[in-house]
Amino acid sequence: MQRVTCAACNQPLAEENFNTHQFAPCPACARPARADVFPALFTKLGGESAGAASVSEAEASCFYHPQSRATVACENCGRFLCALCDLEINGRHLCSTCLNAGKKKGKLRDLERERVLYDHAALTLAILPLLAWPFTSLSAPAVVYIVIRYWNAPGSIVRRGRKVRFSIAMIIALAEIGGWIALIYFVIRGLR
Amino acid sequence: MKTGYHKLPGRGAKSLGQCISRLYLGEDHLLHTESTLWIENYRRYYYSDIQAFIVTRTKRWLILTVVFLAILFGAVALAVTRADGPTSPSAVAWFVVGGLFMILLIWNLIKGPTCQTTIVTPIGRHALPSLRRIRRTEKILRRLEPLIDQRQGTLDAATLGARLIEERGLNPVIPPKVAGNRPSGAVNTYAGILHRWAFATAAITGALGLWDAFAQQPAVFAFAVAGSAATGALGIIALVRQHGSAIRKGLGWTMAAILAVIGAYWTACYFLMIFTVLAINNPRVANDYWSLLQSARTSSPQFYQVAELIAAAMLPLGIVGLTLALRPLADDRSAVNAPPALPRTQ
Repeated sequence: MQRVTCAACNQPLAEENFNTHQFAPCPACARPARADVFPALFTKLGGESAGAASVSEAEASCFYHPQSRATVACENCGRFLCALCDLEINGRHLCSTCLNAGKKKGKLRDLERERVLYDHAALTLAILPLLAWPFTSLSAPAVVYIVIRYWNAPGSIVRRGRKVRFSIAMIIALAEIGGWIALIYFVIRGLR
Repeated sequence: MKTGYHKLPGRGAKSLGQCISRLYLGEDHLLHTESTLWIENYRRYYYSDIQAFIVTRTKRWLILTVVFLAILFGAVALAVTRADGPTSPSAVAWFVVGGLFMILLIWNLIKGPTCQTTIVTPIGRHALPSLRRIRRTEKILRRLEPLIDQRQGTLDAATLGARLIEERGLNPVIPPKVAGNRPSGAVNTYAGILHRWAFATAAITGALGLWDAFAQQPAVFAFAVAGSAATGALGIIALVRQHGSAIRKGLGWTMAAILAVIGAYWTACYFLMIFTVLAINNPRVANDYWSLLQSARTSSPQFYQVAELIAAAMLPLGIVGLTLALRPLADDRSAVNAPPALPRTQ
């Protein structure tokens, strides 16, 4: 089993030790390793489902492959799809067009690979410049902009409290701006 | 607002300073997140696609224990051997350092042995840096297995054996790569000679540092500095040469640790010189390193000792490296002792 290899030396692990739930020495580097394998290891990629059956007169055909029998309808646009065109995402059957559209619009959360955490950015930008306080004159307006601009932007898909972080960042930024206004006011008053 | 994910214990980075990885249990997939300060990356492993988990034991736990223990003993020894008594402020400072490392040592011992976990899917293998302790990994695997079995069905011993035989019949077995049986092409035949020299010089430099920490002889200090420079140069060349070679991975890490110690040692030497110049209030000797070394002993004896103790850390690292470098690879041992291979079915 060439895929189940030791993480240290990349050599195949002994098959007799699979699923024993015990550490056994790697045959190549002798480092203790355990391998828990599942039935998917023996499934061939693009196996039975890849080939689409030919359509007969009484059957519906695939929208993209008229010679292939339709097996499912796209849950978004309703087009008939053969086994080859059917893309299953989190239990939903979609065609490639709807999948691409959903990915572009960010409607399919399960396809997202990256998110910018504006709430974290705002909070960091509000707190970190306090270490070198003159920079708050630049960072505080930036925080206010980020909070207003990205208030409704999606946050982390696993962490909660986005609006709380935004609110704290906004309060700190407003306090910093208030501090600067007060400072300028007192400086001008002092000069007079 | 519910996220639909359940956070699994553990967090970790592939290496120092990289993104923090975490695992979350989803309804039909395992979510692996890598987050920097502002950006979060996601990778989903669907339960129906997970082929295997490979857990390999690492020596990180042992190394951390030895390092923490060495620092703890060093700090306590320094505290109790102070000329001005164990209640002096400097002794108290060393006790605080020792206490800090004792906490780290206990924390490391409680967490248990370390491992490296890899997940195998049809598209490849991916490391899971958040699963670096065996106890935690086993606990999480026990939680994941029922979820995967629910999607894929169970794989009992008989079925597994039959599937493996079937698979072997379909795929010709490729002989494992060993040092003497590497595929042709661009092969690095470097056998680790530079590593051995670097570890030997590191051990000697460390021994000089340890001696000078107590003897405080400027000549020994000068030799230790020269030794560290030689070790650093050899170490960097060795790290470059080892790329793609069949030498033990641990050699590289030990060398990296020695280079880190050299970096710390040179930084300490630099500050020692500065403090000495300031202490003797004589800028004219700023570039006269021999005079500076002689003055350092009297003007900043404690800092002098600290610098040399940093150098002394090269002694255990050098010995560990030499032991690893001189031990034959398991591949070679198995090649000598293994019985002749039986022909496998094609």
